[in-house]
Amino acid sequence: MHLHSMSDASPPMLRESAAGIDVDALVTAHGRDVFRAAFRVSGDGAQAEDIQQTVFIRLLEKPPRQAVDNWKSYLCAMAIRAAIDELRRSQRWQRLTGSWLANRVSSDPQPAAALDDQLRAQSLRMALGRIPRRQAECFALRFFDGLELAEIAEALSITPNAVSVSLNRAVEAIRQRLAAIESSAQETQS
Amino acid sequence: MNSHSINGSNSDPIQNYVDAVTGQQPDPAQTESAQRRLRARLEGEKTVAAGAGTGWGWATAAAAAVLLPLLLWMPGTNSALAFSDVQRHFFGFRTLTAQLTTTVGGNELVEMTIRVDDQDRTRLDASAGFTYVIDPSRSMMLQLFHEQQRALLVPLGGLDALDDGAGVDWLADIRQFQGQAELLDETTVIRGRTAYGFSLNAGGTDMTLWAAESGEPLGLLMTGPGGLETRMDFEFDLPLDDALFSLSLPEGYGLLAPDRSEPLRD
Repeated sequence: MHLHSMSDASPPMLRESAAGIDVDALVTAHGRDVFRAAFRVSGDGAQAEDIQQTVFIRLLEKPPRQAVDNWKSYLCAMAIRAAIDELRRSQRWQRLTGSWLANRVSSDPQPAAALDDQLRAQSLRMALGRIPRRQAECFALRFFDGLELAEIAEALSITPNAVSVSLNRAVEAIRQRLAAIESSAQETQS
Repeated sequence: MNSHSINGSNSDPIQNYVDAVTGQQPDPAQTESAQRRLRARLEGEKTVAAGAGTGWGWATAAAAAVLLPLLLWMPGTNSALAFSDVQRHFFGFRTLTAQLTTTVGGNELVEMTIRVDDQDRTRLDASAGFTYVIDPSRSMMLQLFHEQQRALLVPLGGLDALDDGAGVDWLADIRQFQGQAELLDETTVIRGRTAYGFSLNAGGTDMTLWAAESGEPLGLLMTGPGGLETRMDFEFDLPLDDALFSLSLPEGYGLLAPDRSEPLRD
């Protein structure tokens, strides 16, 4: 869907083109995708809703300067970026108070398999918040949202080769982070 | 929705973690209510934007430009306390000692003493039995696990380092804060001194910073998700032994390798 096309030639044209974005249509077409993309990274419905609203308000206030060919990828990338920023912020406080604290906060009794999955999801989100932002974005767009390399490249305004490099680095960094997180959790339990 | 697997193989251990994330889907009703609230919010934004074009917008902005600094910097009490007076204490201290308590729903979870010197060397002593000593000038952090008498020395920025400011981000957040700090109407008493509260959002965290009339910060309250509350009581320029910030191992502690599996020496 191509809802917004413009020349980047002059500032006055920017405002006209900005007003030309049909935000209502984008909300109808992709609002739910944006919410789900934010949810996958944050794991929190309320936070995903805040991010969803932030994405579209930002779109109203500061529309993209260049034409967007794939709005779904573009908006999901915005949501993932905002969710990763939130992860990084919240983890700064977790690091201050001990990462084990976060595990203690949600201690509702649950079936073992569900608990395992929840801990895995929590560990992966924790790892995502601790690797470089660009790598985290590429990882989430690729493996959580299933985007192709070219789609990620367009959404992040980088080359497919740079996406590929970031993904490889992200996987290795996450592998190391997960090992460290699990080791730390085992120490805490023992 | 995920159609790509890690390294093209479902047997990669990370794939289990990815599946755990993608398997957690929001409730459809939650998605729909989010969608409704998004539409309502956007309608509100458009109304505000339309109102700004009617001629009242400039007047409102002009009035705000005059009133806002007054509201921010001139409290309604006898105090002439300004947030900048409070903020400057976080730049010019010789030492800063903070007693941190974190609670959830009123239940205490962790207590920690944080000490920072004028070179931003930082020491965190946690009631859970560990200590972190962070020396930014040497880009190193020493982690001490007291019960096991084990230590880990890691470079900042390394695998286990604390990112983005090495555990004193709250200090950087307050120092760098340039937004609106709202002076609260109510006062409280901290260690026998009347304290004035400033409400602010620094580094994405909602905080209330309490300060004496002199501007000296006395306490900080931060709120987080799930009823999480972190409170800090500040004391400035207490004499602190330089040894507190040493990266040397205490006697009897063994140094662990970074993967924490092999002791290097005892």
